[in-house]
Amino acid sequence: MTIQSSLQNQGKVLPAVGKTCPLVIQDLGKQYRRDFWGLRHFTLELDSGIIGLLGPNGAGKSTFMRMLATITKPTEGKITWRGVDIATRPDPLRDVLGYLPQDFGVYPNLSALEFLEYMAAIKGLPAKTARQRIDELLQVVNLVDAARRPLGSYSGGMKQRIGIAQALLNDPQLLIVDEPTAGLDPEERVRFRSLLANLAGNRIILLSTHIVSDVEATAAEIVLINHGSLLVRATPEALLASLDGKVWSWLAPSDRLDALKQSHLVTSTVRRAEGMLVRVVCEDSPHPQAQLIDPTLEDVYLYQVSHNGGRQ
Amino acid sequence: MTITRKLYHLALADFRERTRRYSFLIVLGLVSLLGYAVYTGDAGLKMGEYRGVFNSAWVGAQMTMVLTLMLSLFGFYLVKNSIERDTQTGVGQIIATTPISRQAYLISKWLSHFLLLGVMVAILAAAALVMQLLRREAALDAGTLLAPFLLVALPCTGLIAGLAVLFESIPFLRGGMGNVIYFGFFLVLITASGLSVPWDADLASGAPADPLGLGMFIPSMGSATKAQHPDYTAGWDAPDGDVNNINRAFQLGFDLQHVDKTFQCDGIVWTLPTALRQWVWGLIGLALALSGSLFFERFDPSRGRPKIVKAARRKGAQRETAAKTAAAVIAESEVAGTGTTAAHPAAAARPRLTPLGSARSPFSFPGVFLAELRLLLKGWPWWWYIAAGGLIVACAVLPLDIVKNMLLPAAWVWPILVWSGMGSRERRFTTYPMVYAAPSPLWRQIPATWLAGIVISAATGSGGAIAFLIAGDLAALTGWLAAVIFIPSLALALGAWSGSKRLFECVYMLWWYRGAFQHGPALDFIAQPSLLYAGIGLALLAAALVGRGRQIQR
Repeated sequence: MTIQSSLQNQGKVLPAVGKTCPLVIQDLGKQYRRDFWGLRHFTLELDSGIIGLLGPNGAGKSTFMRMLATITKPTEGKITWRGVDIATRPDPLRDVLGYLPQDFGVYPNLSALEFLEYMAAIKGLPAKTARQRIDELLQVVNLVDAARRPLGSYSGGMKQRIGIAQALLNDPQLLIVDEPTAGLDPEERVRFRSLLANLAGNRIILLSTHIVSDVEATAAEIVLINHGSLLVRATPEALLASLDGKVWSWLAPSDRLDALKQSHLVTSTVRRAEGMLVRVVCEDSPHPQAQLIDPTLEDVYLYQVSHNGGRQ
Repeated sequence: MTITRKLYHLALADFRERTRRYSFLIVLGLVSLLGYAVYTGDAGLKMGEYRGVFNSAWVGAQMTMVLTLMLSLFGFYLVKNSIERDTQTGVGQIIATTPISRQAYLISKWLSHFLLLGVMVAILAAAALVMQLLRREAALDAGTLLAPFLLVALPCTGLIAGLAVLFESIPFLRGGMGNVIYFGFFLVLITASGLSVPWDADLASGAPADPLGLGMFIPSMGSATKAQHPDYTAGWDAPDGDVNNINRAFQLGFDLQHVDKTFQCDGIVWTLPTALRQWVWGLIGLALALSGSLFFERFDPSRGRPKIVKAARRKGAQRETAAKTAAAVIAESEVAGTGTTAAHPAAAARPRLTPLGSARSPFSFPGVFLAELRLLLKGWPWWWYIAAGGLIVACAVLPLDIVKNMLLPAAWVWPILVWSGMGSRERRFTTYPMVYAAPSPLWRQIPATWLAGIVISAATGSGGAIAFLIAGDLAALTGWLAAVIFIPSLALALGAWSGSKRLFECVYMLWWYRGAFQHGPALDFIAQPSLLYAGIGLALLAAALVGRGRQIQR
């Protein structure tokens, strides 16, 4: 029995059936070359809350997000925001969209304050509202003291925080953040997670990452994606439950590790004085000394990816 | 790994990266068009009222001279972005950590430039071959046809490649300022080349006078024309340094009047000294590239942007510490194992935002316009503003003919680097994912950018307008108004379509030189007594909107 069918049997897969969701993605596909689709047959309905999008590099996460952010047009299928197709009428979504791209730049000669004022103007915020919002945002991203310095002098993490601030300028109903914690120090990462948790009310927050702990800490639902296809969508609890009784740990000799990796899905190893403490996902006990342990989302993620075509 | 192997791989990777870009296909198309223009007679060489019979000597020499003329301008701008690209892509930082020396890196760039320009030489050599076969005026002699490409055009590309590497190595010359300075250098180069043609020199013993190779071909062509057509005014009949008489002796370039009278060109007898003569320029190019290592900062960002670094030092360090302290107040800790976060008792420190509701501005144009204007005007040194102000005042108070001929053209070339940022800024700084995802990115931003550009052109040229008003010269004022609209429109359209500032810098410099400065009849966008150029400007605005529209959702 696969994890997917296990989840379905438990009734914990969450296609939001029967409810009108503001964001509906139907049979979405993006073709880059004749023989390569970045994303295909992708169907999803999203309601408010934080949705973690997990997948290995090249899985199609950024392609999906760029289409949602109206930057890229789908090759097939459609995305509707409150019933409006965003390919033909993107502005109703853009009015309420906040987008933090994975790769973005800033104007090096502008200060943080000036850059955010510029983005606020581009987003159509009235000047007074923009000023108040920018003040709040600079506090939220912890850049008040650096607000008047040129962005060209900012570190990578500080630029990332400016990216986060601009995404929140218009109080978005749909917030798309692609690898938002890349380059942030642990303190700022925790701060950002906390901010996301506070923001998740009546808005949809789509958080794409391959840092499982980010999703673990914030997401109410998780969408796993690989090779341009949706693997599973479920709550973290359902995903964790799907691996109940399947995650094992024991102390293995270091020289057995390679052989073990060949035969089992090893999700982590920790060096100990007596050998390697290994963590393995499998249906039955892989070793006489192996003990059942609680699964983590990292176990689920690695299990799903390895059982669905592996990495790109 | 040997140094040769390192150079080979560095140069090859750079060459591959460039030739696999869509823009390279466009360049190849333009080079092919150049070949076609020579074939039709729209571009090329004429000796007074004569042209050579289309034999291999004439076709090879003519195509080579047109090629060196074009490559020495456009070739430079084409290749001068390689180190910048390594900086932008981050590859430079990786290269900087390898054992490769600055000299080896710069030589690899020179090689890559040389290869890229060499492709163009090869294309036009092939075009010359086809041209002679199509013209059928004389039998084909492949050696005579191709020798000028190998012995004159290729060394010239070596020099251009070296200049490009040198300009990129010197931080001050790396950007738009370097482009403008090179244009001035180019004008000096072609003028000096034309004036230094050694009409009566012994080719074999003479030193290489010019990198364009005019001195290799023109004297023998002049002699042949004079021998066959005594009415021809050759260079030796012209007083030294008289450009007008030189122009009567030969003309090289575009937009030539078609001539039917021909002379037989026998070409050059290539001896070893003559064959190696122009290659001195190739070696000079290599030396220039190597000399770049004296200035090249090896991708050290702390040496790249002095102003910003200075600002950071001034305001930065202690505030950063303060910010860190503030961040530490957010004392949330991850609960081990569950991956959830637990709030610290100091919950007040949690980041919170006030909901905005539906606060949207129905008319946000003024805000966007002011923001665009600030973007255009930010980041220039103080002396830039002083010089712009000085030109405005000078235009307003000095005599009208000086204003028309010198000051207003100068005032409208001064902000070239300001305008060239228009339309391409979002691509160059990778802000487009955020800007294009904003509501109405096309209609909210492009008109505001355009108007900001118009304000810059109106402000920098305002001294001219005052002078025209005082003199009651309404025709000049009309031309002024048209130019105010035309210049930023050209910048916006070329920026939006090319995604780079260089295309505008290159096109505008040429246009400005032939039109505003030399007062070429149709190209003078300042002195037209009509709103023709305003109309062209509006068409360019439409083109910019179409270009940006294409980029916004792909």
